[in-house]
Amino acid sequence: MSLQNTSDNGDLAPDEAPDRPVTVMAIDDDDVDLRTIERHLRRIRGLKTTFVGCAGLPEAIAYLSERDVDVIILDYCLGAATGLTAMERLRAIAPFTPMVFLTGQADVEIAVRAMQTGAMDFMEKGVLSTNALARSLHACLREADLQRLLREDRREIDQMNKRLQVQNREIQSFYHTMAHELRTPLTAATEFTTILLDELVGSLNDQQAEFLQIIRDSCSQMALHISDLLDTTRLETGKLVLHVQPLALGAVVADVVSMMRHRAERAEVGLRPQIQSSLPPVAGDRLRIVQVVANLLANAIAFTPAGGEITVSVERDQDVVDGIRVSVTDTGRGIAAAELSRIFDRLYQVEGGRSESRSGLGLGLHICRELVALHGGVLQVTSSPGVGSCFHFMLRTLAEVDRPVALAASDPKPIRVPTSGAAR
Amino acid sequence: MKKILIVEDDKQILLAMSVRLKSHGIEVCSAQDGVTAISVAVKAQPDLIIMDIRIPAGNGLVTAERISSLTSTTGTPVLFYTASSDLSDRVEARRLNAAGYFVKPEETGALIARAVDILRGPATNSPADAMRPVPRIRPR
Repeated sequence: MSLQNTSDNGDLAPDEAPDRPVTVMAIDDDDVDLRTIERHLRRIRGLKTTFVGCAGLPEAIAYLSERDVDVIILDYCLGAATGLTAMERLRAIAPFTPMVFLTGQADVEIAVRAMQTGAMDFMEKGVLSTNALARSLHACLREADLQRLLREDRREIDQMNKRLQVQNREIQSFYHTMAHELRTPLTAATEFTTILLDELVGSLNDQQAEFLQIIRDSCSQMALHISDLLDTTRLETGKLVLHVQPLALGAVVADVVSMMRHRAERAEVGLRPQIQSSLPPVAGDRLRIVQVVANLLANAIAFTPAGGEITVSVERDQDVVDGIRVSVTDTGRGIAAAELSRIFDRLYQVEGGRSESRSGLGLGLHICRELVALHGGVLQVTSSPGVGSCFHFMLRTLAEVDRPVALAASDPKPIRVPTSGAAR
Repeated sequence: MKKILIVEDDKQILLAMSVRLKSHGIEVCSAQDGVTAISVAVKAQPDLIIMDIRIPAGNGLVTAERISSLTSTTGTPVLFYTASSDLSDRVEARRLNAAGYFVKPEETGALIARAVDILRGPATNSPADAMRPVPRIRPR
Protein backbone atom coordinates (compact mmCIF):
# COMPACT_ATOMS: atom_id res chain seq x y z
CA MET A 1 0.00 0.00 0.00
CA SER A 2 1.29 3.43 -0.88
CA LEU A 3 1.32 6.43 1.31
CA GLN A 4 -1.34 9.01 0.71
CA ASN A 5 -0.33 12.52 -0.02
CA THR A 6 -2.03 14.83 2.38
CA SER A 7 -1.71 18.56 2.43
CA ASP A 8 -1.76 19.57 6.08
CA ASN A 9 1.08 21.91 6.91
CA GLY A 10 2.64 20.11 9.97
CA ASP A 11 3.88 23.20 11.75
CA LEU A 12 5.89 22.66 14.88
CA ALA A 13 5.41 25.20 17.62
CA PRO A 14 8.61 27.25 18.06
CA ASP A 15 9.32 25.73 21.49
CA GLU A 16 8.90 22.22 20.11
CA ALA A 17 11.41 22.50 17.32
CA PRO A 18 14.95 21.29 18.04
CA ASP A 19 17.56 23.90 17.12
CA ARG A 20 19.82 21.45 15.32
CA PRO A 21 19.29 19.63 12.02
CA VAL A 22 17.72 16.23 12.53
CA THR A 23 18.77 13.17 10.53
CA VAL A 24 15.83 10.90 9.79
CA MET A 25 16.39 7.49 8.26
CA ALA A 26 13.48 5.76 6.54
CA ILE A 27 13.70 2.09 5.61
CA ASP A 28 11.12 0.95 3.09
CA ASP A 29 11.39 -1.32 0.06
CA ASP A 30 8.82 0.78 -1.78
CA ASP A 31 10.55 3.73 -3.43
CA VAL A 32 7.32 5.70 -3.71
CA ASP A 33 6.73 5.41 0.03
CA LEU A 34 10.26 6.59 0.73
CA ARG A 35 9.71 9.67 -1.39
CA THR A 36 6.36 10.38 0.27
CA ILE A 37 7.99 10.26 3.69
CA GLU A 38 10.73 12.58 2.48
CA ARG A 39 8.16 15.02 1.11
CA HIS A 40 6.27 15.06 4.42
CA LEU A 41 9.50 15.69 6.27
CA ARG A 42 10.40 18.64 4.06
CA ARG A 43 6.98 20.14 4.75
CA ILE A 44 7.43 20.20 8.49
CA ARG A 45 8.10 23.82 9.17
CA GLY A 46 10.60 24.74 11.86
CA LEU A 47 12.45 21.47 11.51
CA LYS A 48 15.67 21.13 9.55
CA THR A 49 15.94 17.55 8.41
CA THR A 50 18.48 15.45 6.57
CA PHE A 51 16.77 12.52 4.94
CA VAL A 52 18.42 9.13 4.53
CA GLY A 53 16.28 6.74 2.49
CA CYS A 54 17.18 3.04 2.52
CA ALA A 55 15.52 0.41 0.36
CA GLY A 56 16.46 -2.42 2.70
CA LEU A 57 18.00 -3.53 5.97
CA PRO A 58 21.57 -4.22 4.71
CA GLU A 59 21.82 -0.72 3.29
CA ALA A 60 20.54 0.78 6.54
CA ILE A 61 22.93 -1.27 8.67
CA ALA A 62 25.85 -0.30 6.42
CA TYR A 63 24.95 3.38 6.86
CA LEU A 64 24.46 3.10 10.64
CA SER A 65 27.81 1.39 11.10
CA GLU A 66 29.41 4.60 9.80
CA ARG A 67 27.14 7.34 11.11
CA ASP A 68 24.40 8.06 13.62
CA VAL A 69 20.87 9.14 12.80
CA ASP A 70 18.34 10.77 15.13
CA VAL A 71 15.25 8.75 14.24
CA ILE A 72 14.59 5.59 12.23
CA ILE A 73 11.27 5.12 10.45
CA LEU A 74 10.85 1.45 9.65
CA ASP A 75 8.39 -0.29 7.35
CA TYR A 76 6.84 -3.16 9.26
CA CYS A 77 6.72 -5.43 6.20
CA LEU A 78 10.28 -5.25 4.98
CA GLY A 79 10.96 -7.96 2.44
CA ALA A 80 11.53 -11.30 4.11
CA ALA A 81 12.23 -9.93 7.57
CA THR A 82 9.27 -8.93 9.74
CA GLY A 83 9.46 -5.52 11.34
CA LEU A 84 10.30 -6.95 14.76
CA THR A 85 13.28 -8.96 13.53
CA ALA A 86 14.46 -5.96 11.55
CA MET A 87 14.19 -3.80 14.65
CA GLU A 88 16.25 -6.24 16.70
CA ARG A 89 19.01 -6.17 14.09
CA LEU A 90 18.95 -2.37 14.00
CA ARG A 91 19.02 -2.21 17.81
CA ALA A 92 22.27 -4.15 17.80
CA ILE A 93 23.96 -1.36 15.87
CA ALA A 94 21.95 1.68 17.04
CA PRO A 95 20.84 0.76 20.55
CA PHE A 96 19.52 4.17 21.59
CA THR A 97 18.06 5.54 18.34
CA PRO A 98 14.28 5.98 18.57
CA MET A 99 12.32 3.94 16.01
CA VAL A 100 8.92 4.49 14.52
CA PHE A 101 7.02 1.70 12.76
CA LEU A 102 5.03 2.21 9.62
CA THR A 103 2.51 -0.42 8.73
CA GLY A 104 0.06 -1.01 5.93
CA GLN A 105 -2.85 -1.96 8.09
CA ALA A 106 -4.06 -0.88 11.49
CA ASP A 107 -3.23 -4.00 13.43
CA VAL A 108 -3.45 -3.43 17.17
CA GLU A 109 -1.62 -6.63 17.99
CA ILE A 110 1.35 -5.68 15.82
CA ALA A 111 1.31 -2.19 17.32
CA VAL A 112 1.42 -3.56 20.85
CA ARG A 113 4.21 -5.98 20.01
CA ALA A 114 6.19 -3.25 18.29
CA MET A 115 5.90 -0.96 21.28
CA GLN A 116 6.82 -3.78 23.62
CA THR A 117 9.94 -4.50 21.60
CA GLY A 118 11.00 -0.92 22.05
CA ALA A 119 9.53 1.07 19.17
CA MET A 120 8.72 4.56 20.26
CA ASP A 121 5.77 5.13 17.99
CA PHE A 122 3.57 3.43 15.44
CA MET A 123 1.95 4.98 12.35
CA GLU A 124 -0.44 3.68 9.74
CA LYS A 125 0.58 4.36 6.16
CA GLY A 126 -3.01 4.96 5.07
CA VAL A 127 -3.48 7.96 7.32
CA LEU A 128 0.08 9.32 7.40
CA SER A 129 0.15 13.09 7.34
CA THR A 130 2.79 15.75 7.74
CA ASN A 131 1.21 16.67 11.04
CA ALA A 132 1.21 13.11 12.35
CA LEU A 133 4.83 12.64 11.27
CA ALA A 134 5.83 15.95 12.87
CA ARG A 135 4.20 14.99 16.15
CA SER A 136 5.73 11.56 16.12
CA LEU A 137 9.19 12.90 15.33
CA HIS A 138 8.91 15.49 18.01
CA ALA A 139 7.86 12.92 20.61
CA CYS A 140 10.72 10.66 19.55
CA LEU A 141 13.32 13.41 19.73
CA ARG A 142 12.13 14.62 23.10
CA GLU A 143 12.05 11.08 24.49
CA ALA A 144 15.50 10.35 23.05
CA ASP A 145 16.85 13.52 24.64
CA LEU A 146 15.44 12.52 28.02
CA GLN A 147 16.84 9.02 27.66
CA ARG A 148 20.22 10.43 26.75
CA LEU A 149 20.21 12.71 29.79
CA LEU A 150 19.21 9.78 31.97
CA ARG A 151 22.02 7.68 30.52
CA GLU A 152 24.49 10.50 31.13
CA ASP A 153 23.24 10.93 34.69
CA ARG A 154 23.47 7.22 35.30
CA ARG A 155 26.98 7.10 33.86
CA GLU A 156 27.98 9.98 36.12
CA ILE A 157 26.41 8.26 39.14
CA ASP A 158 28.17 5.00 38.25
CA GLN A 159 31.48 6.79 37.96
CA MET A 160 30.92 8.59 41.24
CA ASN A 161 29.96 5.29 42.84
CA LYS A 162 33.15 3.67 41.63
CA ARG A 163 35.23 6.56 42.93
CA LEU A 164 33.50 6.33 46.30
CA GLN A 165 34.06 2.59 46.44
CA VAL A 166 37.76 3.09 45.79
CA GLN A 167 37.88 5.82 48.44
CA ASN A 168 36.03 3.59 50.87
CA ARG A 169 38.51 0.79 50.33
CA GLU A 170 41.38 3.22 50.88
CA ILE A 171 39.83 4.46 54.12
CA GLN A 172 39.25 0.87 55.27
CA SER A 173 42.81 -0.04 54.49
CA PHE A 174 44.03 3.09 56.28
CA TYR A 175 42.01 2.21 59.37
CA HIS A 176 43.44 -1.28 59.42
CA THR A 177 47.00 -0.05 58.99
CA MET A 178 46.44 2.57 61.66
CA ALA A 179 45.00 -0.02 64.05
CA HIS A 180 48.00 -2.26 63.46
CA GLU A 181 50.47 0.56 64.05
CA LEU A 182 48.69 1.69 67.23
CA ARG A 183 48.30 -1.78 68.65
CA THR A 184 51.94 -2.77 68.37
CA PRO A 185 53.38 -0.15 70.78
CA LEU A 186 50.26 -0.50 72.93
CA THR A 187 50.97 -4.21 73.27
CA ALA A 188 54.51 -3.52 74.46
CA ALA A 189 53.22 -0.96 76.99
CA THR A 190 50.53 -3.34 78.27
CA GLU A 191 52.89 -6.30 78.47
CA PHE A 192 55.65 -4.56 80.41
CA THR A 193 53.07 -3.12 82.78
CA THR A 194 51.74 -6.63 83.31
CA ILE A 195 55.26 -7.94 83.94
CA LEU A 196 55.75 -5.28 86.61
CA LEU A 197 52.29 -5.87 88.11
CA ASP A 198 52.89 -9.63 88.23
CA GLU A 199 56.12 -8.81 90.11
CA LEU A 200 58.17 -10.87 87.68
CA VAL A 201 61.09 -8.45 88.05
CA GLY A 202 60.80 -7.46 91.71
CA SER A 203 58.19 -6.66 94.29
CA LEU A 204 56.03 -3.52 94.25
CA ASN A 205 54.63 -1.40 97.01
CA ASP A 206 50.87 -0.75 97.03
CA GLN A 207 51.08 2.66 95.46
CA GLN A 208 53.32 1.45 92.64
CA ALA A 209 50.90 -1.39 91.98
CA GLU A 210 47.95 1.01 91.98
CA PHE A 211 49.62 3.38 89.53
CA LEU A 212 50.67 0.55 87.25
CA GLN A 213 47.08 -0.71 87.31
CA ILE A 214 45.98 2.74 86.13
CA ILE A 215 48.48 2.55 83.26
CA ARG A 216 47.20 -0.88 82.29
CA ASP A 217 43.55 0.24 82.45
CA SER A 218 44.41 3.19 80.22
CA CYS A 219 46.08 0.86 77.74
CA SER A 220 42.99 -1.36 77.75
CA GLN A 221 40.79 1.66 77.20
CA MET A 222 42.87 2.67 74.20
CA ALA A 223 42.80 -0.87 72.83
CA LEU A 224 39.02 -0.81 73.16
CA HIS A 225 38.77 2.46 71.26
CA ILE A 226 40.86 0.98 68.45
CA SER A 227 38.58 -2.05 68.27
CA ASP A 228 35.50 0.19 68.30
CA LEU A 229 36.88 2.21 65.40
CA LEU A 230 37.51 -0.96 63.42
CA ASP A 231 34.09 -2.36 64.29
CA THR A 232 32.47 0.85 63.10
CA THR A 233 34.22 0.77 59.75
CA ARG A 234 33.34 -2.90 59.40
CA LEU A 235 29.69 -2.22 60.20
CA GLU A 236 29.61 0.56 57.62
CA THR A 237 30.99 -1.65 54.90
CA GLY A 238 29.01 -4.71 55.90
CA LYS A 239 32.22 -6.57 56.68
CA LEU A 240 31.38 -7.42 60.25
CA VAL A 241 30.56 -11.12 60.18
CA LEU A 242 28.97 -12.97 63.08
CA HIS A 243 30.18 -16.40 64.17
CA VAL A 244 26.83 -17.78 65.15
CA GLN A 245 26.42 -20.73 67.46
CA PRO A 246 23.77 -21.96 69.88
CA LEU A 247 24.06 -19.81 73.00
CA ALA A 248 22.72 -20.16 76.52
CA LEU A 249 22.01 -16.47 76.89
CA GLY A 250 21.60 -16.75 80.66
CA ALA A 251 25.07 -18.22 81.14
CA VAL A 252 26.67 -15.68 78.78
CA VAL A 253 25.09 -12.76 80.63
CA ALA A 254 26.02 -14.29 84.00
CA ASP A 255 29.67 -14.40 82.83
CA VAL A 256 29.55 -10.72 81.90
CA VAL A 257 28.00 -9.84 85.26
CA SER A 258 30.76 -11.60 87.15
CA MET A 259 33.38 -9.88 84.97
CA MET A 260 31.90 -6.49 85.77
CA ARG A 261 31.24 -7.11 89.46
CA HIS A 262 34.56 -5.69 90.57
CA ARG A 263 33.96 -2.47 88.69
CA ALA A 264 30.47 -2.11 90.09
CA GLU A 265 31.87 -2.61 93.60
CA ARG A 266 34.49 0.07 93.01
CA ALA A 267 31.71 2.42 91.94
CA GLU A 268 29.65 1.36 94.98
CA VAL A 269 26.81 0.33 92.72
CA GLY A 270 24.79 -2.81 93.40
CA LEU A 271 24.74 -5.40 90.59
CA ARG A 272 21.80 -7.79 90.69
CA PRO A 273 21.43 -10.53 88.07
CA GLN A 274 17.93 -11.95 87.54
CA ILE A 275 18.41 -14.85 85.19
CA GLN A 276 15.56 -17.26 84.49
CA SER A 277 16.70 -20.87 84.60
CA SER A 278 16.37 -23.47 81.82
CA LEU A 279 15.77 -21.02 78.98
CA PRO A 280 16.10 -22.48 75.48
CA PRO A 281 19.25 -21.48 73.53
CA VAL A 282 19.38 -18.63 71.04
CA ALA A 283 21.52 -18.33 67.91
CA GLY A 284 24.24 -15.76 68.45
CA ASP A 285 27.88 -14.77 68.32
CA ARG A 286 29.05 -15.22 71.89
CA LEU A 287 31.80 -12.58 71.77
CA ARG A 288 29.50 -10.01 70.22
CA ILE A 289 26.70 -10.63 72.72
CA VAL A 290 29.28 -10.31 75.51
CA GLN A 291 30.46 -7.07 73.91
CA VAL A 292 26.91 -5.66 73.86
CA VAL A 293 26.00 -6.65 77.43
CA ALA A 294 29.39 -5.54 78.80
CA ASN A 295 28.99 -2.20 77.07
CA LEU A 296 25.47 -1.68 78.43
CA LEU A 297 26.69 -2.62 81.92
CA ALA A 298 29.74 -0.34 81.70
CA ASN A 299 27.42 2.51 80.75
CA ALA A 300 24.97 1.72 83.54
CA ILE A 301 27.82 1.71 86.07
CA ALA A 302 29.22 4.97 84.72
CA PHE A 303 25.88 6.75 84.90
CA THR A 304 24.60 5.39 88.22
CA PRO A 305 25.63 7.26 91.36
CA ALA A 306 27.10 5.44 94.37
CA GLY A 307 24.40 3.60 96.30
CA GLY A 308 22.39 2.93 93.15
CA GLU A 309 21.51 -0.45 91.75
CA ILE A 310 21.74 -2.17 88.38
CA THR A 311 19.53 -5.12 87.52
CA VAL A 312 20.53 -7.41 84.67
CA SER A 313 17.77 -9.77 83.66
CA VAL A 314 17.40 -12.55 81.15
CA GLU A 315 13.87 -13.88 80.80
CA ARG A 316 11.24 -15.08 78.40
CA ASP A 317 9.74 -12.15 76.52
CA GLN A 318 6.21 -11.47 77.71
CA ASP A 319 4.92 -10.53 74.27
CA VAL A 320 6.88 -12.77 71.93
CA VAL A 321 6.48 -16.51 72.53
CA ASP A 322 9.90 -17.55 71.25
CA GLY A 323 11.73 -14.43 72.41
CA ILE A 324 14.29 -14.10 75.18
CA ARG A 325 14.71 -10.64 76.56
CA VAL A 326 17.90 -9.23 78.03
CA SER A 327 17.62 -5.99 79.95
CA VAL A 328 19.97 -3.77 81.90
CA THR A 329 18.09 -1.46 84.26
CA ASP A 330 19.81 1.17 86.35
CA THR A 331 18.77 3.70 88.97
CA GLY A 332 20.95 6.37 87.40
CA ARG A 333 20.08 9.91 86.45
CA GLY A 334 18.16 8.79 83.37
CA ILE A 335 18.23 10.21 79.88
CA ALA A 336 16.32 13.31 78.80
CA ALA A 337 13.59 12.74 76.23
CA ALA A 338 15.42 14.94 73.73
CA GLU A 339 18.49 12.76 73.97
CA LEU A 340 16.69 9.41 73.84
CA SER A 341 16.25 9.41 70.09
CA ARG A 342 19.89 10.24 69.50
CA ILE A 343 21.85 8.08 71.90
CA PHE A 344 22.25 5.26 69.39
CA ASP A 345 23.59 7.64 66.74
CA ARG A 346 27.16 7.20 65.72
CA LEU A 347 29.46 9.68 67.50
CA TYR A 348 26.69 10.92 69.82
CA GLN A 349 27.88 11.47 73.36
CA VAL A 350 26.02 12.07 76.59
CA GLU A 351 27.82 14.50 78.86
CA GLY A 352 28.73 13.83 82.44
CA GLY A 353 29.42 10.18 83.07
CA ARG A 354 31.42 9.04 86.08
CA SER A 355 34.73 9.93 84.46
CA GLU A 356 34.18 12.95 82.27
CA SER A 357 37.73 12.96 81.07
CA ARG A 358 37.14 9.69 79.20
CA SER A 359 33.80 10.12 77.59
CA GLY A 360 34.62 7.70 74.80
CA LEU A 361 34.30 8.07 71.07
CA GLY A 362 30.52 7.97 71.00
CA LEU A 363 30.62 4.63 69.23
CA GLY A 364 29.67 2.21 72.01
CA LEU A 365 25.87 2.29 71.85
CA HIS A 366 25.92 2.69 68.09
CA ILE A 367 27.96 -0.51 67.78
CA CYS A 368 25.69 -2.27 70.33
CA ARG A 369 22.59 -1.38 68.35
CA GLU A 370 24.15 -2.56 65.08
CA LEU A 371 25.38 -5.81 66.65
CA VAL A 372 21.92 -6.55 68.05
CA ALA A 373 20.45 -5.72 64.64
CA LEU A 374 22.86 -8.20 63.00
CA HIS A 375 21.37 -10.78 65.36
CA GLY A 376 17.90 -9.87 64.11
CA GLY A 377 16.95 -7.93 67.25
CA VAL A 378 16.37 -4.31 68.19
CA LEU A 379 18.20 -2.56 71.02
CA GLN A 380 15.76 -0.23 72.76
CA VAL A 381 15.79 2.12 75.68
CA THR A 382 13.22 3.51 78.07
CA SER A 383 14.20 6.14 80.59
CA SER A 384 12.81 8.54 83.15
CA PRO A 385 15.11 11.40 84.14
CA GLY A 386 15.99 11.11 87.81
CA VAL A 387 14.66 7.55 88.05
CA GLY A 388 16.84 5.48 85.75
CA SER A 389 17.17 3.85 82.35
CA CYS A 390 16.45 0.43 80.94
CA PHE A 391 18.26 -0.87 77.85
CA HIS A 392 16.81 -4.07 76.47
CA PHE A 393 16.83 -6.31 73.43
CA MET A 394 15.19 -9.55 72.44
CA LEU A 395 16.65 -12.54 70.59
CA ARG A 396 14.62 -15.45 69.26
CA THR A 397 15.20 -18.95 70.51
CA LEU A 398 17.07 -21.38 68.32
CA ALA A 399 14.09 -23.55 67.38
CA GLU A 400 12.66 -20.66 65.40
CA VAL A 401 15.87 -19.72 63.65
CA ASP A 402 16.53 -21.35 60.32
CA ARG A 403 19.58 -23.60 60.45
CA PRO A 404 22.15 -21.49 62.31
CA VAL A 405 25.65 -21.65 60.95
CA ALA A 406 27.86 -23.21 63.58
CA LEU A 407 31.11 -21.36 62.95
CA ALA A 408 32.13 -20.70 66.51
CA ALA A 409 35.77 -21.14 67.33
CA SER A 410 36.56 -24.24 69.33
CA ASP A 411 39.41 -22.51 71.08
CA PRO A 412 38.46 -20.44 74.10
CA LYS A 413 38.50 -16.76 73.25
CA PRO A 414 39.10 -14.05 75.79
CA ILE A 415 36.26 -11.73 76.57
CA ARG A 416 36.47 -8.07 75.67
CA VAL A 417 35.44 -5.87 78.55
CA PRO A 418 35.05 -2.16 78.23
CA THR A 419 37.37 -0.70 80.82
CA SER A 420 36.59 2.43 82.72
CA GLY A 421 34.96 5.44 81.18
CA ALA A 422 31.53 6.31 80.00
CA ALA A 423 30.96 5.00 76.55
CA ARG A 424 27.37 6.15 76.45
CA MET B 1 61.64 -27.99 80.09
CA LYS B 2 59.08 -27.13 77.41
CA LYS B 3 60.19 -24.79 74.67
CA ILE B 4 58.33 -22.05 72.78
CA LEU B 5 59.43 -20.31 69.60
CA ILE B 6 58.19 -16.71 69.45
CA VAL B 7 58.20 -15.18 65.98
CA GLU B 8 57.78 -11.44 66.46
CA ASP B 9 59.41 -8.51 64.70
CA ASP B 10 58.77 -5.99 67.47
CA LYS B 11 61.70 -6.27 69.90
CA GLN B 12 59.79 -4.82 72.86
CA ILE B 13 56.88 -7.23 72.49
CA LEU B 14 59.36 -10.08 72.02
CA LEU B 15 61.15 -9.18 75.25
CA ALA B 16 57.91 -8.82 77.20
CA MET B 17 56.53 -12.14 75.95
CA SER B 18 59.82 -13.89 76.77
CA VAL B 19 59.76 -12.56 80.34
CA ARG B 20 56.14 -13.63 80.85
CA LEU B 21 56.59 -17.10 79.39
CA LYS B 22 59.85 -17.72 81.25
CA SER B 23 58.02 -16.92 84.48
CA HIS B 24 55.93 -20.03 83.78
CA GLY B 25 59.11 -22.09 83.53
CA ILE B 26 59.05 -22.20 79.74
CA GLU B 27 62.21 -21.98 77.64
CA VAL B 28 61.94 -19.34 74.92
CA CYS B 29 63.68 -19.02 71.57
CA SER B 30 62.85 -16.36 69.02
CA ALA B 31 62.98 -15.15 65.45
CA GLN B 32 62.14 -11.75 64.01
CA ASP B 33 61.32 -12.72 60.43
CA GLY B 34 59.82 -15.58 58.48
CA VAL B 35 63.00 -17.05 57.06
CA THR B 36 64.86 -17.04 60.40
CA ALA B 37 61.75 -18.55 62.02
CA ILE B 38 61.99 -21.62 59.80
CA SER B 39 65.67 -22.26 60.57
CA VAL B 40 65.22 -21.63 64.32
CA ALA B 41 62.21 -23.99 64.36
CA VAL B 42 64.25 -26.76 62.71
CA LYS B 43 67.26 -26.27 65.03
CA ALA B 44 65.44 -25.67 68.32
CA GLN B 45 62.52 -28.12 67.84
CA PRO B 46 60.02 -26.07 69.92
CA ASP B 47 56.91 -27.65 71.49
CA LEU B 48 54.80 -24.66 70.47
CA ILE B 49 55.12 -21.64 68.18
CA ILE B 50 53.67 -18.18 68.85
CA MET B 51 53.56 -16.47 65.48
CA ASP B 52 53.01 -12.83 64.56
CA ILE B 53 51.36 -12.42 61.13
CA ARG B 54 52.86 -9.19 59.76
CA ILE B 55 56.56 -10.07 59.82
CA PRO B 56 59.36 -9.45 57.32
CA ALA B 57 60.45 -12.16 54.86
CA GLY B 58 57.14 -13.98 54.42
CA ASN B 59 54.06 -13.43 56.56
CA GLY B 60 53.32 -15.54 59.63
CA LEU B 61 50.57 -17.57 57.99
CA VAL B 62 52.83 -18.69 55.15
CA THR B 63 55.75 -19.25 57.55
CA ALA B 64 53.60 -21.44 59.83
CA GLU B 65 52.47 -23.50 56.86
CA ARG B 66 56.06 -23.91 55.66
CA ILE B 67 57.28 -24.99 59.09
CA SER B 68 54.50 -27.55 59.34
CA SER B 69 55.40 -28.98 55.95
CA LEU B 70 58.94 -29.85 57.09
CA THR B 71 59.35 -33.39 58.41
CA SER B 72 61.28 -32.41 61.52
CA THR B 73 58.80 -29.71 62.61
CA THR B 74 55.49 -31.02 61.32
CA GLY B 75 52.70 -31.13 63.89
CA THR B 76 54.05 -28.32 66.07
CA PRO B 77 50.98 -26.39 67.24
CA VAL B 78 50.86 -22.70 66.30
CA LEU B 79 49.17 -19.82 68.09
CA PHE B 80 48.82 -16.69 65.97
CA TYR B 81 49.35 -13.43 67.84
CA THR B 82 48.73 -10.36 65.75
CA ALA B 83 47.69 -6.73 65.76
CA SER B 84 45.48 -7.52 62.79
CA SER B 85 41.87 -8.38 63.50
CA ASP B 86 41.33 -8.70 59.76
CA LEU B 87 38.70 -11.31 59.06
CA SER B 88 40.69 -12.75 56.17
CA ASP B 89 43.69 -13.46 58.44
CA ARG B 90 41.43 -15.10 60.99
CA VAL B 91 39.78 -17.23 58.33
CA GLU B 92 43.15 -18.26 56.91
CA ALA B 93 44.40 -19.16 60.41
CA ARG B 94 41.36 -21.34 60.90
CA ARG B 95 41.85 -22.96 57.51
CA LEU B 96 45.40 -23.81 58.56
CA ASN B 97 43.97 -25.41 61.72
CA ALA B 98 45.85 -23.10 64.07
CA ALA B 99 45.57 -23.82 67.80
CA GLY B 100 44.45 -20.23 68.40
CA TYR B 101 44.24 -16.66 67.10
CA PHE B 102 44.80 -13.79 69.51
CA VAL B 103 44.63 -10.05 68.87
CA LYS B 104 47.18 -7.65 70.38
CA PRO B 105 47.02 -6.27 72.95
CA GLU B 106 43.72 -7.20 74.54
CA GLU B 107 43.98 -10.97 74.08
CA THR B 108 47.56 -11.37 75.33
CA GLY B 109 46.53 -12.79 78.70
CA ALA B 110 44.40 -15.40 76.99
CA LEU B 111 47.28 -16.25 74.65
CA ILE B 112 49.67 -16.89 77.55
CA ALA B 113 47.02 -18.99 79.31
CA ARG B 114 46.42 -21.02 76.16
CA ALA B 115 50.16 -21.54 75.59
CA VAL B 116 50.69 -22.73 79.16
CA ASP B 117 47.64 -24.97 78.81
CA ILE B 118 48.90 -26.61 75.62
CA LEU B 119 52.40 -27.17 77.03
CA ARG B 120 51.06 -28.62 80.23
CA GLY B 121 49.47 -31.34 78.08
CA PRO B 122 46.30 -33.31 78.56
CA ALA B 123 47.53 -35.16 81.68
CA THR B 124 46.55 -32.40 84.09
CA ASN B 125 43.45 -31.35 82.22
CA SER B 126 39.97 -32.66 82.76
CA PRO B 127 39.16 -35.94 80.94
CA ALA B 128 36.95 -34.01 78.53
CA ASP B 129 39.88 -31.81 77.50
CA ALA B 130 42.13 -34.83 77.15
CA MET B 131 39.78 -36.12 74.46
CA ARG B 132 40.25 -32.96 72.45
CA PRO B 133 43.63 -32.90 70.73
CA VAL B 134 45.51 -29.65 70.19
CA PRO B 135 44.93 -28.59 66.55
CA ARG B 136 47.98 -28.94 64.28
CA ILE B 137 48.71 -26.89 61.21
CA ARG B 138 47.55 -28.67 58.04
CA PRO B 139 49.91 -28.03 55.14
CA ARG B 140 48.17 -27.71 51.78
